[in-house]
Amino acid sequence: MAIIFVRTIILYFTILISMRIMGKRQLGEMELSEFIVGALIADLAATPLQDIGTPLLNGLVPIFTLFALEIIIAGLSMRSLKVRKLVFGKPEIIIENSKIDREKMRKNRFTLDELMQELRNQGLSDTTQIEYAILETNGQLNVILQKSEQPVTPSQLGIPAGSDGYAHIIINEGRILDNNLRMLGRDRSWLDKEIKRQGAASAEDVYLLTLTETGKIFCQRKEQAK
Amino acid sequence: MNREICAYLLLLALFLGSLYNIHVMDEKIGSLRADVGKAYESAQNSDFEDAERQLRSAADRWLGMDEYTHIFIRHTEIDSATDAFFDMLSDIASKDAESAEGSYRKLDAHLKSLITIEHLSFGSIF
Repeated sequence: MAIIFVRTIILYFTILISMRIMGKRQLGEMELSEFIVGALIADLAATPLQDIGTPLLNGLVPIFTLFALEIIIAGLSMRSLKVRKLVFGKPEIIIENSKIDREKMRKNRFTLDELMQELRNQGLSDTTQIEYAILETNGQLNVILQKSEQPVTPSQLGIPAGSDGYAHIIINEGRILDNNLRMLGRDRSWLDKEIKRQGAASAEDVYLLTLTETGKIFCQRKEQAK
Repeated sequence: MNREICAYLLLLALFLGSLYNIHVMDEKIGSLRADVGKAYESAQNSDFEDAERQLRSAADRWLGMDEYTHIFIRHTEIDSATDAFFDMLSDIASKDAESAEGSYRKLDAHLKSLITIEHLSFGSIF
């Protein structure tokens, strides 16, 4: 029992550190090679965890090997277009000017049902609305609408579109984030005044306070958050 | 680039570590097999006292390697080899040369498989 406990901790941190170094993409949109590594690592870790008669090294050595290979392949594919094509494939245009390319669909083993499901996921049901649909190397389908179907932008309407900038969190559940405060050129005395102005007694009474570069403030007191 | 260099170094270290493990196993298990062979020869010459002394010494060395073997070898294989050691010891202690031959073959096969399983060969890979 104690062996399994210790092994679990070792494998947990090994996988955590490996995935962390491999990059955040591992968590979401995985490329083919990343998917292989993810699936294999999970299985490799499970074997020495379930069977204490198997040396832990039998799990760790392949995990480290896969981890090193993944780093090398990722590095090579960043520098070489040929390696990238070989390992990850290339994006395929499945729909061009509303016309579905059957050959590319067949080549990617993408059925019409799957295509329609992907389109419905994006709120589309009519292929005539689509100028391009591109099957990305991570299996995601990206759709570019026909010009006539695209939403109107402020620039098309001639409306000036200003930006308030990014809203930085200044108070998070009563805790003041001094780094963000300093980054926006404010100090504690400014914050104290602002807290009072928002009707709170102190920072501890504030659930969330955000501030943008243009000075726009959002404040929610704790009692309001309930 | 630094990450890649570290990855290449890690792969190299793992490969060299595996080769070193094969070398250590060859040396340690090879020496055990030689001692077990000598014990068997003594038993065949009806010198059971010498055979028992040699085999006991080999068995002690095998058990002493426990810290190393448990890291690299499946524990069931270690247990099988240990059982084979004690089977042969029992046959020699009872001065049964005929049974000792069988138990020697079994022990030698177990020890040999511990080396061959680690060696890089077409058969061991596939």
